[in-house]
Amino acid sequence: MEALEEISKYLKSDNRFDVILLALNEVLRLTATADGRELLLKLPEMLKQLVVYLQDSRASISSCAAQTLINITGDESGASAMLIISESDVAIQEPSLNLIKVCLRAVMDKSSTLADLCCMILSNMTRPFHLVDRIITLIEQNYSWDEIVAAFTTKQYNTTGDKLHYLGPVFSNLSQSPHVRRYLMDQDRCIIQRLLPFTEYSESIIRRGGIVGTLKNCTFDTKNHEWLLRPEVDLLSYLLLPLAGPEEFDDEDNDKLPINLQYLPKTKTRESDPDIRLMLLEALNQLCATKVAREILREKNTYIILRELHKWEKDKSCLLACENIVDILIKTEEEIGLDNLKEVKVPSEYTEKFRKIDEDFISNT
Amino acid sequence: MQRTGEVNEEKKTWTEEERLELAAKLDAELDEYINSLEKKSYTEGWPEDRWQEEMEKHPFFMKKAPEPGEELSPLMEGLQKLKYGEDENTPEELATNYKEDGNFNYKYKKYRLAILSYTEGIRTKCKDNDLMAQLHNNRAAAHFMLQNYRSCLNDCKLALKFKPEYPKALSRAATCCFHIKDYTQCIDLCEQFLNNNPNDKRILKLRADAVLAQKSLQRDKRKQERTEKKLEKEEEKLLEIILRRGITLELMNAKQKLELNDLEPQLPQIALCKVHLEGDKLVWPVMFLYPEAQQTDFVQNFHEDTLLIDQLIEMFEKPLDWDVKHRYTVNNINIYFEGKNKCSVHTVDVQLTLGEILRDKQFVVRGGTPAFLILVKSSEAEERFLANY
Repeated sequence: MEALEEISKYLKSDNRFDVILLALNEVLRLTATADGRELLLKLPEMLKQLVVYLQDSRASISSCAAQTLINITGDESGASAMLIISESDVAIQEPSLNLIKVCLRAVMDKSSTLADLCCMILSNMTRPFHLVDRIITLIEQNYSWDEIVAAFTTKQYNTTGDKLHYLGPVFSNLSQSPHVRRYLMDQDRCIIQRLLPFTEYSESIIRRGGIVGTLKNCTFDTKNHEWLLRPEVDLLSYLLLPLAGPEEFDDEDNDKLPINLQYLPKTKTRESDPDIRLMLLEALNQLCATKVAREILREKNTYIILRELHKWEKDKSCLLACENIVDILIKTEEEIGLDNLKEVKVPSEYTEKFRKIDEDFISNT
Repeated sequence: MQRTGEVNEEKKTWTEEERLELAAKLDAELDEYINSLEKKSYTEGWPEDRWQEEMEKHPFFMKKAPEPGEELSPLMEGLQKLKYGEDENTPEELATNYKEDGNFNYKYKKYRLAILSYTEGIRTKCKDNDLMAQLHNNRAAAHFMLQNYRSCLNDCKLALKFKPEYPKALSRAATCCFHIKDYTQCIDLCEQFLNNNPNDKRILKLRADAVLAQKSLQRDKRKQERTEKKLEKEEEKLLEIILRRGITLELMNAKQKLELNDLEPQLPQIALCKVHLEGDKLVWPVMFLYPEAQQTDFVQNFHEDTLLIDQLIEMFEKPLDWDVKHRYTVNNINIYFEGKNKCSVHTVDVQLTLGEILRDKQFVVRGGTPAFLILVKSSEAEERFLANY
């Protein structure tokens, strides 16, 4: 503890480059362990100093500070502490103590070499659900969502080679908020449509997974199902395409599929990550909550894609999720008798029973 | 009163004679004056026979603007110099004048003239970036009206170079990309536009249309590739089966390897009836020749498992049109094929299937079309025919 306080003094008072860098590297090493991070959380002045150094013009110093902050915000307690510091920041003072503002500034700055590291910090900060609304408030004080989406979707936005891939998980985390979902699905704009193609983005599993998570969250709003499935948005295409493989179908079956899935080549491969496949299936499951969406899914021949996926799939959770969708789709609307499955009141005793049945299925070898 | 009377009195003194005398005097004075002037010829006036043409050229009376290269009247030329001369104008003034000309022509739908004007303006290379952007943008608009979408796109991009935030040029560029079916670029430009105008309904629709068109284009490409691969596969299978049957084919251009070209029928009557597969069975176009009668018959689809005798029975069920003596009957004919080097002729056992016949070591399929010769048994024609080999 005394050692840390000594380091804190150096970080505060000394201007010598080598001393600062040495001290920062020591702190970085400390954050590699849970105990070290816990220790740091007891020194708010040190945490503030890290935000200050994140803005240092010397690249090795700011980079080291960024990596340290990534480690700290990886824990929920760390993210929470940094949020408190950010909220207490005085808006006009520089350097800012508002970590959200500082990170976004680096992300939006095309020539920043810290953009990717700052995306990671933001990804960590936005992960705890109970912090999301407060972070949204801080974001909106300085930037518009349009600007952030534009940076994410513009090819080679950053001129130094940073990719901004971790903005994907940021959108996924933030889309837990109804406020952000309303923006993403604003029918008078073109926002979610620009995110859709990334479900097939082969260059980054992080970006891909982040966007799939975002889309899954969007399917929770049942009132938007009909709009999401219209040809000009075509959400179904982008959920099914990663689940489709090289299997061939005859012309009749092909003609019923969404255009993006017709006549796929033998070289087509499915999404390789089971967690992403599961999110895609969970999104489809959410769509099955409404009659209008179920009818579109049937009409678009979703069943044959899931049938072939089921033959190929090895992951137990994915198999179960796939079967859940098929079980609904193969029923007629008369058999189901409900426009919105989410409005069904399931007795709590059955909820637990269903969960246990699912668990048993997954754990069986 | 006396004064008045005095005037009257003086007026009355003019007599007709006196008037005539005065007129003659004035005429004489005028003649004298004219004669005293310098003598000059009428050199710059319009010739009588071409006055209408000259009138047309006069800037006050002309009915249409001069075409490029057309002769200008001196007055018009002078006016143009005032407006377009480099000595009288800065490059910026020149560019502005040309822009105004272009806009005038554009307004009256003279798009080609407008393009020429804008082009002259661009050539000034004036330093005003905003003006240069406008010239390129306006020329783009004229190209657009002429449906020169690629030229329009180029001009839009140049306009954007001079003026990066130029919504008109950006949206027109996106529209051009749609017209030339470059949907990827169209979508990209729409998104650039929407970054600053997120709610523009026209561009939102254009982007959505481009996405749909792109999907259809890509699907059609995939479908075509699949069809081509399928065809290729079928063709490979065909060649493989023919080779497996041990059938000899004449190869074109003395090649060593069998190719699909070798299976193309050479005769117009069966050009569309290539050998093909039914399941894993070959079906051939087959030609029958009647040397005596100088006649030819074609069977378009001859299944390899069909007995030749069955085909012949069907062919000769009714007399051939040209066989007036009805000499060609199944029991009265012999079937031959020409041997490998065309120096021998071989009798065919009609109880065999086509497939079996084709596997004969001496049989060569030429032009992808097996051929047989038919002659009347023990006829003079047959004797003469056989004597040739």
